[in-house]
Amino acid sequence: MKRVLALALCAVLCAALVPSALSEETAPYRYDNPITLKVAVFDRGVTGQTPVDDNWWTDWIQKSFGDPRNITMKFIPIPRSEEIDKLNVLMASGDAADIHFTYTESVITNFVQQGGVVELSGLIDEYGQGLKEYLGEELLEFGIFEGGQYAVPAKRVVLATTGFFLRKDWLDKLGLPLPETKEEFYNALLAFRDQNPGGVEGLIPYAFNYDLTTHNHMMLSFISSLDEKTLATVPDILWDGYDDYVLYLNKLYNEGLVSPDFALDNNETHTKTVAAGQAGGYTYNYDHPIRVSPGILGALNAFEPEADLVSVNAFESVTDPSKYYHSMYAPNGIFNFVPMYAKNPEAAVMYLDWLCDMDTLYFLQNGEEGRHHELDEAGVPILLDVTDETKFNSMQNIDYTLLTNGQEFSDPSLMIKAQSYSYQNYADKFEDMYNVANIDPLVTNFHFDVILSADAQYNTSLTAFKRELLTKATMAKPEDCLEVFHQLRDQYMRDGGQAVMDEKIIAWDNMRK
Amino acid sequence: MTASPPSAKRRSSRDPLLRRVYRSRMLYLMLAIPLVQYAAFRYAPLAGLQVAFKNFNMFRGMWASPWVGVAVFREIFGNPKFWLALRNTVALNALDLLFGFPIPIILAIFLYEMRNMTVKRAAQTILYLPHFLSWIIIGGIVTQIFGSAGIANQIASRLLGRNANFLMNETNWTIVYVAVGVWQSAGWGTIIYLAAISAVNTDLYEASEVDGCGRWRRIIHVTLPCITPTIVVMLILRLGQMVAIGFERPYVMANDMVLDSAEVISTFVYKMGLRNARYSFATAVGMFGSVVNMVFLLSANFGAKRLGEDGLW
Repeated sequence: MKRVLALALCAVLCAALVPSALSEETAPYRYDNPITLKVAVFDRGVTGQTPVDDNWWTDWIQKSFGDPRNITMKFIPIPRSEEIDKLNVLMASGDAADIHFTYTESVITNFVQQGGVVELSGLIDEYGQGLKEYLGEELLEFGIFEGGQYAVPAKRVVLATTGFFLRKDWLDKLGLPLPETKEEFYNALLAFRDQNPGGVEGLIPYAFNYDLTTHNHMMLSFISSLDEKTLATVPDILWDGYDDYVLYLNKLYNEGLVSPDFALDNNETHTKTVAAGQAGGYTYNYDHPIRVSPGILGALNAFEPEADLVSVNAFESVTDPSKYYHSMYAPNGIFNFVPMYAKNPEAAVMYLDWLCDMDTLYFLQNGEEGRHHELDEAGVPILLDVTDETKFNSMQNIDYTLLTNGQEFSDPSLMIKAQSYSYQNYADKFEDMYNVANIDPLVTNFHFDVILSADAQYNTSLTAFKRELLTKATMAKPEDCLEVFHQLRDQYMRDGGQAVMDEKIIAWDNMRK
Repeated sequence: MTASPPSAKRRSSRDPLLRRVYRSRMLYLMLAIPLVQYAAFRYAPLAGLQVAFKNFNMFRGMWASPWVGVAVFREIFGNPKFWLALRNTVALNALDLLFGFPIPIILAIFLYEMRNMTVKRAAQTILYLPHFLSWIIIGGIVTQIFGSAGIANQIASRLLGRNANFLMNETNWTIVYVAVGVWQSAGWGTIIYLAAISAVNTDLYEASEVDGCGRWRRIIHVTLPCITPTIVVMLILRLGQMVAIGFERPYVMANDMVLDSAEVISTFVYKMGLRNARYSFATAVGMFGSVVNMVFLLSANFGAKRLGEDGLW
C-alpha cells in the first residue's frame, strides 16, 4: 500500500514538474525559469559567410522557438572538416552541446557504448509527435542502437550521391559524344590529354584529390559480387572485381590522365583546377558544379561563358552492360543525438520536433518572400541571390534544419522543381544531374541495429588506411600495382578489417534469422 | 667567492627562517610564479597518466574508469603501426640531429667573424625569418616549390629527364623534410651560440694572435673549445628529445604516399587519441615516449660526465 501511495505521489510530482505535452497543440510549453539550449552547428568556413552561431537565421530561431518557451538558444560552431576530432574532444571534456550530430555511425556507437548518450524514445513519445510523423517508423529505426533510440536521423529528400562531370564544350570541340562506357570515358580523357581542346596551360584531363574512395559508381561497375550480404558485411576492397578497378585507376594515373599531385591535395585544390578551367572534369556530389556555394560552374563561366560541365553515365556493370549502378545513400541523413550532459533533454526533443514543422522548415529553407525568394506560377519558391547579412550560409540552410537533408516540399510532384530552384542560374541543369545520379540505384551502406564494437574501434583508422591504400596502388608502377594492392589489403584485414567483417557477418546472420 | 664577512654570518644564524624569508619576500614571490606554473601545468597533469592503465570511459571520467593493468601497453607493443611510428620518430630525429645540430654552430661562428656590421645584421635577419613562419605556411610553400609543377621539380626533371617526385617518394620526402627543418630552425639556433662566443675572453684571442694564429686556427683552438660546454649542454637536451617530435612539421608535410616514413609518435597519438577517441591507447603511447626520452637524457648526461664535461647537473 505504501509503495503504491509513494508511486502515485511520485507520478503527481512528476506530472507537475515535467512540461505537459497537451499544451503543445495550442501554445508551446513555457519554462518558468529561463533555460539555455545549446545546439551544435557546422562551420564550413565559406568565404564571406556570416557568423554561423549568431546571424539573421539564429535570431529568427531564437524569436520563433526560444522566446515563446523561455529558452535561450546558443549555437556551438563545429569546424566541418574536423568534425569528429572536435566532437570527441567536446564529449570527453564535458563541454558538449545539448544536440550534436555526425554522419559517422561508429562515432555514435562509441559514445553509446560508454553510456554517454540519452535514450530518447520516452521523450519522443511525449514531446516529439510531429517528429514521429515527419520521419516515420522506418527512418527512426536507423537511430536505434542496441534496442534504444539513441539517435534521431535526418530525412534525406534526395538519395543521390556523387556524379562524374566532364567538360561538354571540350567533348564538342573534339567531336566526341558523351562517353557511355568505361572505354569511352578513358578515350575521352586521352583525347583531352593529347589535343588539349581548351588550349590551357597545366592541363589536367581529370581532377583527383587525395581521397579516391569517392569514385563509387566507377568502382561498382567492376564488381561482380553484388549480393546484399556481401555489400553489407564485406569491405569493398575484397569484392570480386575490385582488382580491375584498382588497375583502371592505376592506368588513369600512369598515363597522365589525372592530377599528378593528387596525393598532396587534401584541400580541395582539385575543384579549383576545375573552376580555373584547367581540368577536364572531376567527381563530387551529384550536383556539385552547379551549387551556389562554392559555385564551380559559376566561377568557370565568369571567364569562359561557353564552358559547360555535365554529369556522365559511363560506367557499365561487368555483370550486365545495360546496368549502370549508382551507389545511393540510405534514406537517413545525419544522426542527431543528445549527450548525457544535457540538463534539459526534453527541450532538445522539443527543438527537434519544432524543426520538423512544415512552416519552420519552409521558412528556414526559403526565407522571406521578396527577400529570399519569389514564387513561380505553381507556387514553388524560386530562390534569389542574397548577399547581405540575411544570406544562407549553407545550401537550403542544411546546417540548421537538422532533420532534413534536401529541399522539402509538401507537394511531391513539385519536389524536383523546388529542388532545382535552389541552384539559381543553373536550375535547368539540375534535373539532368539528378537523373543520372539516380540510374540503377544501389544502396551499399547498411545500418545494423546492434552495437558493432570492432567497427567503433577501427572505423576511423580503417577509413584513413583505405585512402592510403588506394593512393599507393594507384601511384604504383603498372606492373607492381596489384602486388602493392594485395599487400596493403592484407594489412588492412590484419589491422582490424577482419574483426569488423566477422562482427558484421554475425550481426547480419542474427538479423536474418 | 670569498667567505662571507663574519658580521653577515652572525646575523643569519641569529635570524629565524621566517624572518629571512620575509626579508627576501620579493625574491620568493618571483620564484613562486614559475613554481605555481610548473605545479599547475607540469605536475598536476601527471595524474592523467593513470588513463594509460585504465579502460578509460570518457563519460565516467578518469577516476571512475576501471583499472586494466598493463593491457593497453600489451596492445601497443603488439601494434605494428606503433613500432613504425617509433622507428620513424627516432630516425627523423637522428637525421635532424646529424644535419640540424652542427649547422647553427658553424653559422654562429661565421656570423661572429663577419666584419661588416650591415651585412651581418642583414644576414641575421634573413636567417631568423623562417623561424617565425607557421608550419602551415611552410607546408604550402614546400608543396608549391617541390610539387610536380613546382620550380624545384621543373629544374630537376630537366636534369634527370623524368619527374623527380620530391614529395611522394619516401627517400626524397625524408631529404626534403630534413632540409626544410634545417632551413627553418638553423638561424634561430645560432642565437645561443652567438651569446656563448661573445662571452669568450678577448684576451685569449689576442694571445692567439701574438702566437701567430690565423683566423682559421683561432676558431679551432680558441672559439670552439671555449663554447664546448654550451655545445654539450645543447646536445644533451637534444638527445633528451629523441622520441619527442613536434606535431606540425610531420603532420603538415606528410601525405598518404609517404606515411610509412612520416607517421611519427605525435601524429600517431593525435590520430588514435583525438580522431579515434582511444584515449587510453594514446596516453600510453605518449607515456612510453616520455620514458624513452628520459632514458636518452640520463644516458647522455652520464656519458658527458664520463668524458669530463659538466653535464646538466
